[in-house]
Amino acid sequence: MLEMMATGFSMIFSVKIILIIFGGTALGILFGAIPGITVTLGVALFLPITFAMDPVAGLALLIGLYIGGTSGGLISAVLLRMPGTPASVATCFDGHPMVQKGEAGRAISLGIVVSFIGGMLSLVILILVAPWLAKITLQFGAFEYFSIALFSLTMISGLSGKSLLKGIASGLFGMMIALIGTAPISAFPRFTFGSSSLMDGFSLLPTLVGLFAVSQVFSAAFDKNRNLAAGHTISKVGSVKFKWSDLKGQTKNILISTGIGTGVGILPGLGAAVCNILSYSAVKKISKYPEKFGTGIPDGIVASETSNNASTGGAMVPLMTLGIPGDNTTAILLAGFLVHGITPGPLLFTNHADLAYAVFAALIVANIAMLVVEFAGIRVFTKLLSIPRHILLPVVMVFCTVGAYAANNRIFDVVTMLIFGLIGFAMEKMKFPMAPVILGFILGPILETNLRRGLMQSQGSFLPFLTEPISGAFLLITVVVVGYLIFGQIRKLRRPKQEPVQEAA
Amino acid sequence: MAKRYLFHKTFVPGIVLALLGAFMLIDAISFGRVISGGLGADFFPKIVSAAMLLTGIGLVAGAVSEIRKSTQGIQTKEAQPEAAQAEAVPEEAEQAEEKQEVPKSNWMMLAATAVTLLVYILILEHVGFILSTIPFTFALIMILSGKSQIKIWAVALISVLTSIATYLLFVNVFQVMLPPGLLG
Repeated sequence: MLEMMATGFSMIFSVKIILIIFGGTALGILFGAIPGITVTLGVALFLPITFAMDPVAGLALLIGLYIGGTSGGLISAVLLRMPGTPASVATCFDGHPMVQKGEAGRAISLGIVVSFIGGMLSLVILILVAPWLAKITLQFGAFEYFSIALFSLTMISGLSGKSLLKGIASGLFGMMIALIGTAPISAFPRFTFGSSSLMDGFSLLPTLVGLFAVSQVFSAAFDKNRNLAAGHTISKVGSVKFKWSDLKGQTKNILISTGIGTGVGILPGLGAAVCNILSYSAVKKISKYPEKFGTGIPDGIVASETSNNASTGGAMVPLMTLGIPGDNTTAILLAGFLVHGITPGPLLFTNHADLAYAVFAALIVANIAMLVVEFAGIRVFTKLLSIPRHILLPVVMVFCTVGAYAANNRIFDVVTMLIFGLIGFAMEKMKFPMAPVILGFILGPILETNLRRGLMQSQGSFLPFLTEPISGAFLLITVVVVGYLIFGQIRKLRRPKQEPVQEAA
Repeated sequence: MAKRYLFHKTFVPGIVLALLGAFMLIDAISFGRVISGGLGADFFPKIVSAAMLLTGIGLVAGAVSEIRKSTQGIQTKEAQPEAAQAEAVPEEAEQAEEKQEVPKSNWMMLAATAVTLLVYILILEHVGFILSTIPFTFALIMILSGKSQIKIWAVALISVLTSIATYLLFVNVFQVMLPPGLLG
């Protein structure tokens, strides 16, 4: 394995690729830091640019964006009190109080260091686990793929927001959009209304860009508090020197957060957005001083930032060993692989092992780049963050249009972007979560293809889905979790009804 | 009374989604059996659209029960003791905020943005990237800046620079094709 790692490193050790990784990471940090623009969007926008690059360079760029973007949210979480990405929501809890105590620099430097630690530790797990896991997933068939895809779609639908029904609706909506076009296996045109543009269905990129970016522009136009020109109030940073003493006593927190982050990342469908909050709650529960959480203690920042970066290594596991994305952003990375004709999955380690290890090497370099760039560039990022939104958003829109158009060089894709921009705006206003839509869009075809293949193998019997051990296990977990979520929702609905009953009594 | 239903966050979407599911289901049934033995291209769409129909109905049911509860809450408000009233207040406040009348100007801003984007899309391939992006960026910044005072020449400069820089960057550096249009 060490030999393979050496091969991997040799593939990325050219000035051009190292520069690409550093550049990608810096851009990723920027995208992650700007609230309203997520890391998923950043990776998606640069996807068309990688078309013209060779596979290693293209993937290196996307990986840099991924690692940088996941971490960048901490900058705005601390300085703006707004998470730059959903991955840094829990960082605000203790980050902002620390700023109020005048410790902004301390919060940021601690966040950067633990992000690095979490990222690197999860990478170690990835590098050790993935090749071994790939041997197991090599034996996975249609039943297993179906159950795992169903599991991950259910997870993301159920855990995306307060309403289980709305999450399910979002996931189903994503699947419905994916149904438009030519059916897999039988090549039968569905829901195309006779339009030739729709024969291939909607493209992933314009849909994604529309839902996540254009919707933001519409929101900004519609916003009641039209204070956009005022920009943001950014706290002063002060000294960003890192104090090693801040790490004292955090070992347990770091290990737990890394475990949660990597574990959640490995689960297909769930990623950084979920684990930072989970980790915060967990660390708070086992802490000797839970009442101090929220007042500005290092533990809070450690919990959140370690786990969100740990999820990057974890999310790469299902992507590389199964070809099923670990979260929305790895879904774009999946597209990045496919664009270069490489299908991630168990065969990746058999047919393109050198590329797999090059990806590992790139991940390592990207984490180092993140550490360096964030420390060196914090003042630059602060300045960039103060660009008012009414200038920033139109510029982003231009990039989005380029991104949408560049995928297939047709205007229809830009129209797609507009349509989904409006849909995304409506969804946000009506509090429907958007994450399940993309995963529904991607996993829907996987679900259908494997359902049909599986049934063809079993001659029409649904039984093997349950009796095959791994497939059955995932289905069981799915049912259990759904049951738990439904139970929780019913309990929530029952509570207010109890009071009038007591009144009557 | 009808307004309560119309503005509720889940009622209308629930109906829309249920209808969407219903239409897709009907359409899918018309596919018929395409493959003999095993499943055809109709199976999965039927399941997904049926699930969507059920989910839509569930959302509508939830919305109706919520609206009924809030109406009852207002009627029995005087009958309830203060403690229960205090608990009901934050809930009502949240609902009140949601139902606040949205000023027409916001809808107009939204429409303006959508129209700007639509016009941009329509002229993009004919006029070319640079020539269409400049007015697009300009218009969008002006729309979004709302009541703030901004210098028009600055906005114009930003629009021109962004458009040209983006074109050069993507076409020359990243090798991505963009419509050259009238500039050839």
